[in-house]
Amino acid sequence: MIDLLQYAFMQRALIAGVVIGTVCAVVGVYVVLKGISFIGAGIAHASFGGVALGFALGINPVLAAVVFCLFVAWAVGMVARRGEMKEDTAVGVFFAATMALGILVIGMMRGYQVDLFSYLFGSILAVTRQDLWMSATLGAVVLLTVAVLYKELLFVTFDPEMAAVVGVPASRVHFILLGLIALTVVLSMKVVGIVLVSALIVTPAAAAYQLTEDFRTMMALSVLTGIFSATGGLLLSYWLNTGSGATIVVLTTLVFLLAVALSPRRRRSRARTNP
Amino acid sequence: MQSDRHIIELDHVTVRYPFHIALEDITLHVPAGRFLAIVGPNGAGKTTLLKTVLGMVRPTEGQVRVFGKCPWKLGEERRRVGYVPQVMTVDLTFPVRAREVVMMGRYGRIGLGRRPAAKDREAAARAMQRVGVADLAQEPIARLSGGQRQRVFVARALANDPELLLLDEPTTGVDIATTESFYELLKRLQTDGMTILTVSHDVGVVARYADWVACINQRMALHGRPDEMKSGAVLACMYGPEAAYLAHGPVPHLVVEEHGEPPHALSAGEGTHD
Repeated sequence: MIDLLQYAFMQRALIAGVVIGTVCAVVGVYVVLKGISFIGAGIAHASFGGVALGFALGINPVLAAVVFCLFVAWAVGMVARRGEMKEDTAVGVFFAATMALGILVIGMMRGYQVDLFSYLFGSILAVTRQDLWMSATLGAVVLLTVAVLYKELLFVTFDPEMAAVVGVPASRVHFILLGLIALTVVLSMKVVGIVLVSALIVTPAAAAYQLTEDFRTMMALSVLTGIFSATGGLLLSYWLNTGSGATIVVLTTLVFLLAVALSPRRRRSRARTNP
Repeated sequence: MQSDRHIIELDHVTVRYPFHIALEDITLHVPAGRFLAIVGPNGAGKTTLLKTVLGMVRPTEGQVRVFGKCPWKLGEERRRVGYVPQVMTVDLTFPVRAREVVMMGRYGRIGLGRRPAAKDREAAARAMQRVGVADLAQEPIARLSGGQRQRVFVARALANDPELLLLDEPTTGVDIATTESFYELLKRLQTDGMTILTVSHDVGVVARYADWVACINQRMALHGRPDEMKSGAVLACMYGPEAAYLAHGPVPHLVVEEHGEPPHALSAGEGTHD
């Protein structure tokens, strides 16, 4: 273990794990409570289009993904609001379209073999010093926004209509939340992978939801689960020589199953159905 | 325009959606201090009417004035309007405590990036006291009974010290006894000077508390003092001849229950668990 921590790549990966675990878990609380986990998955897949475009245009793929994901997240929000279409439908459309765009772009760059596999499924070795700074900066932006808009995000997640009635800019706060999801996806992409990142957003919060009826406690439990899964998953993936993203997701799923088994919510709902 | 005496003024209001007309040519003036009940079947436009008063829906034709102003241009005066939405619109398993829900009523006033101050906490505590849920402050909303939860939502509306209270089907899924005590609470608020506009499909109950009832079914079918509303002709106009016939039975308010549940389901479950 001590030996392991002497590797610079492992240090970087673990620090990234703490950042990613925290940010995903915090944003995940809103995603789970608002019931928009499909949006998380949709935006994550859109980042593939962003990465591919980045490579094609010779821009930093992570930076390209930031711009692209923000664009897609807000486009989903706009289309849903303007077109009287469900957000779920809008995600369904953009999800496939952006993934397809990414594949088209890569197909056109013949002979250019990028390590796309690590973007799709995550890799510990892929975390460079520059990636770590990028993750930490985006993570700070996300957490700071959540801290400043704490009560507005809570209200808009709980009851957006009423929030608007009392004068909270509900629609703007919703768009900010979509933006936060986009940033979270991008900052987690290299370690967890595009395909798996939505699990690290949804699952820790879903586990925490099973265990408490208090919002702050849910946030705290979600963050603990997120950090434990991300760092534990990275260490396991090193020892077992498995993909980092998949190992993290399997670990967080185990925590989730344990939480479901211990859940007071589940016991209560059972008591209600079989009196 | 006597906008100082009429708190709500709707003149020939029509709301048209792409595929249907929600409200047609509604004219309704509500003086200060009135307890008005809007009744009508599902899809009659009752919620749309509330949303028009709130400024969330803009009329296609006609004019709306709340406190003498356009409801979507109320600005600071928005605080004078309290709203209790349909309980079914929120997730009742959401991990949030009663006092946090009540405090949300003041979030708009507190402003972005600021935490509730002592005066906000006092206002929230006062609102909870006023509706008799002060002892439930620490309870997660998932553990409240239907009646308690509804009072918490009223407290949230009262946290801003409004002068006008709008309620959308406030007693859906709540048993009869709880419903009665809920309307008594509204009556008390009216005595304290509040103007109340509640939407209901429960003509029988609401008619005993409101001092004015308006029947709508897209159009204004009739409005007047509640005793005028008990005639079978009015029910027939709203619900068809069958309802009018049943309304002569001993429990007329069950007749107009139209959420697809049999009447006895109303008093089961909600309100008494724990």
